[in-house]
Amino acid sequence: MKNKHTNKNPFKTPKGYFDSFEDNIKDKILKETAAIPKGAGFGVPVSYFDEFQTKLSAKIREKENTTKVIPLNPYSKIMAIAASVAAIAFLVLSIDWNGNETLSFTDLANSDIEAYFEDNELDLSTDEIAKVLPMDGYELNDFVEPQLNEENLLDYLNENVEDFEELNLENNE
Amino acid sequence: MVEEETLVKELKSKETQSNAFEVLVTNYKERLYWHIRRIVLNHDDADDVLQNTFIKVYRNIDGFKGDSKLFSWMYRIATNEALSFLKQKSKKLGLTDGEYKDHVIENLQADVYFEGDEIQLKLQKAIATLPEKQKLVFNMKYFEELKYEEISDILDTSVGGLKASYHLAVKKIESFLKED
Repeated sequence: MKNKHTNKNPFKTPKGYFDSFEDNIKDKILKETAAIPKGAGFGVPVSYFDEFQTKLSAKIREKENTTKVIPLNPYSKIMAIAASVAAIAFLVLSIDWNGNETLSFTDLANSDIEAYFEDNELDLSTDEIAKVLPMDGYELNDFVEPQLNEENLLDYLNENVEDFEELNLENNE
Repeated sequence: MVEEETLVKELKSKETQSNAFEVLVTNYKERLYWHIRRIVLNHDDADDVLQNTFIKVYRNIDGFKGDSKLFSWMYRIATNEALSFLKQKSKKLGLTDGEYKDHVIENLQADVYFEGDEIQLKLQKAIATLPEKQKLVFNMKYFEELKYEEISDILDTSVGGLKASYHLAVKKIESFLKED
């Protein structure tokens, strides 16, 4: 007769449970022993979460209604054409046909350039910046001998270095 | 709770979208609210950002490819919405990011929806001194008790980097709280 009972363990754990077990214990101990309050102290108005769904649905309806396309009337089409003609005429007249002065990069104020970069998310890569950055005005020492504060350095490394532990800071402190 | 895969399918189908969205909001509104609130600090701002987050989720659900969990995707949207909200607000007030943080912390004491004591107020001041990423990691780990793997998925940072950020943040906060 075949034995229906096997020694196979019928219990399972969530995926990665044992891999993160040590970290979870360490962090629990850290939280218990840290002299940091356990709560943040924030509150919410009474029944805020109960009423949230209704408020959100109303906002979605409102947004959907306001984004409907309004058809252009024939007058606005004529006005748009007239405005375009006027704009072209203004541009042609405002060009100084006899002037010899042309604007160049050096005519731009630094503050204007900074404001442009501040207001526009250009998302340039370091390679792209390097291609356009004039290097004549810089000395190598500007980069090699900076005055760094230790805390700023740690913050920078923490923000930018992927594997912090590989730096092996504790052994070299 | 409805399985995530089923919920995503229902959210993408026109017939079931409305009900599925209600389920989604019910399941996640509180968790996302507290995540956002810890970034923006003020209740009204958190409410605005939470609504915008759900509207973004509603509008972009078709673009959700399922490469990450729905929960991580929504957390990422909420984090981005909260950070850009802070940026816009500081710009509107003509303040730098740092000045705006100080302004919010100063107003926290007078906020009717802040019920914290002196030490909790000091904790918020300590958190405000941290760099952006450390602040996010500290809140997500200490208060929201997310796993490093989940935070890694949301912030797109390695687990090793997150552990370093968290331990550094705890040290900094502890020493700030010890100061007079």
